[in-house]
Amino acid sequence: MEYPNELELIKHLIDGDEKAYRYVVQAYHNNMLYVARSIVGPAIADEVVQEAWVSVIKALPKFEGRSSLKTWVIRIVSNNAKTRLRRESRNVAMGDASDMEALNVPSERFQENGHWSSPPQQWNIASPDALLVSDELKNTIYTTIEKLPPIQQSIVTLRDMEAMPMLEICKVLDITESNSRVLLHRARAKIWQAIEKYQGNQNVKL
Amino acid sequence: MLSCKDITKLASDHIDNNLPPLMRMKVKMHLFMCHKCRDFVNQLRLTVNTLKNLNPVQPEESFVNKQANDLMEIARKLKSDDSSNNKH
Repeated sequence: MEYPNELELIKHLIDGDEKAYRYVVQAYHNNMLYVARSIVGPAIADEVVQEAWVSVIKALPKFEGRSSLKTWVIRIVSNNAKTRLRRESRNVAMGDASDMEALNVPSERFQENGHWSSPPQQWNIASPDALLVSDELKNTIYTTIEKLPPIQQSIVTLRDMEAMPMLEICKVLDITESNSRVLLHRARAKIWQAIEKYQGNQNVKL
Repeated sequence: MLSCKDITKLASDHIDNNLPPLMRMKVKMHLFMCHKCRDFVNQLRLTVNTLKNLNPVQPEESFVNKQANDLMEIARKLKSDDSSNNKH
């Protein structure tokens, strides 16, 4: 990325540099959207994110650098979304109840005694670099993430891809740490399944 | 004894070093004896490491351009409101 540090980036934003604006939209917008969807639901998430962007721009000159800019932005979206939720006194199911029954690895893959009946397939790749060489596989992973329930999308993106601390994520999404760990595992297990399926198709082709 | 199904539920916490010591030991014992679960845990670890190396999903370029322009417009407006307020 072209900015040596965040202060430089913020300076460019305050000066109205188009490149800096494109950079932050690219880097932050989807994360903001995931967090908003997790809290207020998909219907008004876009609106909440747009409001949050305006708050961000207004508050930018006052940013003190006590957290990273990304964390600060995510907190603003989260606060805006929570305020919006209270104002509309809407009840959106947090913690994606619809998915509560789903097991991490489908139970059809186990015998009644809990042993594997359909064990993991062998993978013919052994490093992340090797996995990411294939655009097809990259797209499979992206599509799987896009299809996850919003709260799992937020957690797996912020934790595994953005390396945000788990406690920060819990605060932003207003969930307990044990709940967040369950949801993180569920998201990872779905991505594992998608990679396994992709691997299986590759083996058929070979 | 933990079953294979139990191991698949604990796998993320094991990978993230988040299990209490006794449970961690039990998981390790199972993994020592069961190559299927070893495969699973290794594949899940590979999945997590792959995610760490992957850029998050990014918005479409046309969206990025439009959004960036809209935001700059808002920033300009805020600035000019500010300076006209200061004059009064």
